[in-house]
Amino acid sequence: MVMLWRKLLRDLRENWGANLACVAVIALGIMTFNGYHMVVDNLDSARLRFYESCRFADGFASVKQMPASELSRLEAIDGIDQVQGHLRQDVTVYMPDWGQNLTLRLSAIDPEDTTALNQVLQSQGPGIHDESNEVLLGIGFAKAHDLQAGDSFDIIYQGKKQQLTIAGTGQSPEFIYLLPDSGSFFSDPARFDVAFMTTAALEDLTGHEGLVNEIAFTLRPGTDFHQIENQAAEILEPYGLTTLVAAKDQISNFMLDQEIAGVKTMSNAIPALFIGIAALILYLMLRRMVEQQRIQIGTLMAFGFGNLQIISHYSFYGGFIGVAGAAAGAIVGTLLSGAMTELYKMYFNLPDLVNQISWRYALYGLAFAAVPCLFAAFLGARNILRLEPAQAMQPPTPKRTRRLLIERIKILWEPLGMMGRMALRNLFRNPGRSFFTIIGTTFAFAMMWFIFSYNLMIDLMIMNQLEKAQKYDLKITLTQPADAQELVQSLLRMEGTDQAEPLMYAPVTLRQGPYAEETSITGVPDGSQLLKILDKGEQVIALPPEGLVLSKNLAGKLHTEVGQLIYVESPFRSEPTQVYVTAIVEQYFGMENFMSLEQLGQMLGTGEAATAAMVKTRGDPYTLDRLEEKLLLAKGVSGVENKAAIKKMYVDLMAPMNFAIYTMTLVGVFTAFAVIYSSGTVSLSERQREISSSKVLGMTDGEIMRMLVMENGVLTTLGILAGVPTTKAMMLYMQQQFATELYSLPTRLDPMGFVQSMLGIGAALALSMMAIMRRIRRLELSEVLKTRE
Amino acid sequence: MTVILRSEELTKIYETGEVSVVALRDASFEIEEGEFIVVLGPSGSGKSTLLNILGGMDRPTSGRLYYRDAPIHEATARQLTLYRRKAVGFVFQFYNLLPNLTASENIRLAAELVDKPLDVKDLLEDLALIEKADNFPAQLSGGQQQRIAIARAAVKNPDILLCDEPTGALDFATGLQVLKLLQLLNRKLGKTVMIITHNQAMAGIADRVFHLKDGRIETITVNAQPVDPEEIVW
Repeated sequence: MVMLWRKLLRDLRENWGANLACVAVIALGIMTFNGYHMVVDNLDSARLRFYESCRFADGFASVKQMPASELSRLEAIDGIDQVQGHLRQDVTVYMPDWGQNLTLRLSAIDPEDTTALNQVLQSQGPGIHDESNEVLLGIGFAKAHDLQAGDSFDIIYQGKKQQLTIAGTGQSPEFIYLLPDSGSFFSDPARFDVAFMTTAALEDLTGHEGLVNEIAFTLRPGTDFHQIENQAAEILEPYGLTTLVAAKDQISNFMLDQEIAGVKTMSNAIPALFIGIAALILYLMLRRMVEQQRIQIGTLMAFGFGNLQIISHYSFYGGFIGVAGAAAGAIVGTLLSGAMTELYKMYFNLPDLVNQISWRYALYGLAFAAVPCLFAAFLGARNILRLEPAQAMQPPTPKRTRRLLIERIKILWEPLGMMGRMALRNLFRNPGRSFFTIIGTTFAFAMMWFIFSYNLMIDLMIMNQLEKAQKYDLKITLTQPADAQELVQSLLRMEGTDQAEPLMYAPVTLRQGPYAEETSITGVPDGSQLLKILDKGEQVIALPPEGLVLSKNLAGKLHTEVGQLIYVESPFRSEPTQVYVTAIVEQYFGMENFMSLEQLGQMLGTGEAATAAMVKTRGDPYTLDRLEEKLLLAKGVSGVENKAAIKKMYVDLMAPMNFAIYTMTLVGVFTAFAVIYSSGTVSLSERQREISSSKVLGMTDGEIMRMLVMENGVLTTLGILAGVPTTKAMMLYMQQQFATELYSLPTRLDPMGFVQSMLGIGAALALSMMAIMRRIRRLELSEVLKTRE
Repeated sequence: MTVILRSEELTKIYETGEVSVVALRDASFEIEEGEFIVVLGPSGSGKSTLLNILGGMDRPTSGRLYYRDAPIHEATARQLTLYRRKAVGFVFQFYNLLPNLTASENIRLAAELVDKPLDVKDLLEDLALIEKADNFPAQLSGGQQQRIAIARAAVKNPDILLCDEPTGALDFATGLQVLKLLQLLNRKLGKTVMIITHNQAMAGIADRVFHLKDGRIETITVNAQPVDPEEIVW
């Protein structure tokens, strides 16, 4: 059927604008499908290769410290195979140029042991030769600070400066994704990375000879982690066990798993959405097309073309668009997976992470796109087959136009004018198509607003905390509690200090009925100037003079409410004590509970003790740097947090998001355009006659345009309105998906984002109206009015 | 002569809502191979209904229709399609060429449906339309379009050509050309031709004329001496 194919191609060409929009929507979906699936495979296979070649362990434990000789007790547990313990210590890197806190996690290794677990893959330099100050540095840190093998840098440990020399770079399967602790949000290898040195060297540096604090082990085949968990915990408990997890919950592996799972979900959900939209466009397009080609179809039937040939002809129209979109999407998707894989190299320490092109996904993508498109076109076209050929040859019976409800309300209907009335009637002439325009706009709008709300989310989660709550410049933590007043006095004596306030972090167990949670209480001085308490990320609330301010998350877990008495257990007190919950605050990031410092001291019997302090300086960066350096080297100080540096870190980390926001905005505007334009084209073809008649009667193009804008304006406005709850629902879904112990995402909608998204939809509306206007201008009046319909 | 179509009490009733309209009532006749038939009647007399049923485009409500002894009234949809494909060629008042296929492509479209079509190029040459072969319908005059439409019907080499007001949209001179072409196909290739029209003048060229009124065949007249199209005037 060569001729029928030729007709198909010419039909496609005739309607190229709407077809192209449809192809692009599919291409976006298949791009995501291909790109994301390949990225998942890349990450998965690189991880697997790394784990196998470097012997990633099956279980991990952290303790405060434990004699290495005790490890054999673990080995004796039935089911545990190989056990390995080593020392690990976080140290501060001293780089005055950076003027901020840099931390390295020094991890002991035995470079000679080829049977060791979690082996380090050395990628540069001569390697460690048992020199006490040699390290294999994490690649991210080395890159960020432009450090090469042979370079040296200083670290500070317990107030002492020491020099380390770089013997190369290294990667370990334990540190694919680096987080300082489980409460952290992002990996930032410029500020936190790992470095490996020999056990002897680290023991020497820390003075912890013969001790380990990190344990890794493998399980015998057929053994489940849970079978040995209790026995291992029993052995480790006396040594201050902090974590005991199976490989799947090991923090780096867990983060990588989460990322892969996230991308995997998106890799099907996003394409499904886009292809759904494209299928709807095709359905509407084909429904109109068979109406328009009714006589042609009748003629084909008269000549003896069978139903199958005719329906295939129109279904292939959809299939062709699906295939074109899938092909374009597969190509762009391959590029996307390349770019994303490169991006992941920045965040994940995976030595063998390469972009592998898989044609499999191109094929799946083809089916994923072509089948729904084919089917949508089939559904759109199938009505015509219900007709006997003789009926198909006749023009369709005109649709009955019913009076709208609003037409009866004279006060509303009369002032609309002829054009307004026509516009309104048209909306109801094809409710299915109007509905589609609304849904498409809703989707595009929600996508934009969702992504635009990101900035507000970050403000509520992080930035407000840094700007509205933390009014200090530096926060120091002490190695052990000190007298609050003395601490403040000594800080005020230091050059550059303007204000100083003590803080007390007290580890506690809170109990309410059968519920208990381990947490900590932050003691804040009454009327503190340097630390405010924020509710819902933005409202400053006053610290009540009495009782406990509980985080909402924790209050939920304890099933408690304001006014209830709960029990507090603390290592500082042998007997549990009771305290009233006086306020509950909603926090998005972290779970902090507050009390008056004075009250906390009284309750725990510690007097006015402090474990940390906040310092406000006179403000100039030079003074700040000097003070920070002095504090870093001060005795009894375990860490100094520079708020400006932390803020800069977040700002840096958020920077790539701006690109994502920009891209998503474009995708949103384009999707809205594709929907409005394609349904507009269908509507135009339906009304060619009416519009041509209006033109002949003397209506100007501008007036016709006004009518179309009015129609589509009503639809997009409805779409935007529906977009409000949709965006909210998306945010709630995301909150549910990503909530952890330590953070929950705010679901507040950003009013600014609403305006931005509306502008986006407005732009899409304007673009599609312009494209449709071009078609109206080119309408050949005589031709249109001559053709039979 | 062989009977090519036999109609027995063909009746078609259209039900629209509560109203039923009898479009064709008890039409019984036989058509022989190679006959030239003109069906005359005012609009609404049931001409198109008759043509559609004879062409397998519509089904009778009752009655029987045989094509060379094959019961068309009982045919399945698939059999009807094959009947239209192999036995019948349609010519319509408004030509109904596919607008985005060229003249020759429109003819080839039909040619592709059968095993032994006529040669497309020969047909175009016979119709003196060879130089218009690559034009799209919109670039052709009405008469040219109708001649292409006739070629498209003829290319399948069907037994019967069914023409629905083939000159209805044409001026006299062009209409004449079309009629001559149809007569040529009838005389030279032996095709059975049936033309429906409300134009009394055309009766002269037919072997037999069916007069329809209110869905009934009132009379069938036989022309002992059919005339050439040139000799008729309207």
